[in-house]
Amino acid sequence: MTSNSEVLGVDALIETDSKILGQVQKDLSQEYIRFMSRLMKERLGTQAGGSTSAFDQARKSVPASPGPTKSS
Amino acid sequence: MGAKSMVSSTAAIEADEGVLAFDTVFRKTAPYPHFISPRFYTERFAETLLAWLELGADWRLKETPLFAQYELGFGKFRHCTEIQGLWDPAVLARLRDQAGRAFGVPVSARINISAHKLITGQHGSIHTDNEPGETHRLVVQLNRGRANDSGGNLVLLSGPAPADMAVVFKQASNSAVGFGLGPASHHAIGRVRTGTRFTVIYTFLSEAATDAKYNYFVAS
Repeated sequence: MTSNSEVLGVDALIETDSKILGQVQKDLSQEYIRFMSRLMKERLGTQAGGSTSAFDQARKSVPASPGPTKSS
Repeated sequence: MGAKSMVSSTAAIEADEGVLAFDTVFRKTAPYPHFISPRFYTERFAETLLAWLELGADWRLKETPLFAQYELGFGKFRHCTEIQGLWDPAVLARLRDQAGRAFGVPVSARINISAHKLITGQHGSIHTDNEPGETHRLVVQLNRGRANDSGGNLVLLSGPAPADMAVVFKQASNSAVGFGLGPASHHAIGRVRTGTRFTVIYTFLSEAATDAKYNYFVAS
């Protein structure tokens, strides 16, 4: 395990490398697009069939956000 | 005061001193108020807890369209004496007090403690965790060293879209991030590229949290 016996400064805890930041944002964007695509498909499916989707179940957990609970 | 309570009190103090460090906090305001603590547990307890997470834990896979991760709630592991300092009432009392100072508002003595394990490919998309029963979240990272490009970073955002990315935290083991929960507390977990990402999550509950929904611990 990384030793933190010498307490790290805040700069050591926040990512500033532009390459890493770019990769993180790219990953978030891909997940966002994947989620929105699925949402669109499920909404179309719900309109056609009226079934309760996995998205609906997740959505119920956190009505004010696009996400369910505790994924920190 | 009888001898028994004196012994209990001494044991509680020892448990407190042997578990939490949480002595340094950096407060930040953007994209919303949060804090970072570079050393949350004592070195010894961090090692004990990480070893337990790696070997002894009974994980449950949870997958939704928004996230994929393994989870556990410590409320089901009260019999695990090697990590019982995690929910010791005196330890939680100190945590509550220090977290309250760090957040700038008092927090509840009712605290839910859980853990997450994310392996390669798992992630958590942008969300808020804006639940009526939950007021604040504190996330502790535990690992044996994760490369900067290993994925699984905790990200805070100023809004619901990837372009709103504001802060990306490195994965320094035993560091902690705390933030209030509400409609603006957008955050995410980047996709894990290599290795395993462990976190321990403390959730401070509100009066709206019911005993039926939360298997929580109580600070003394």
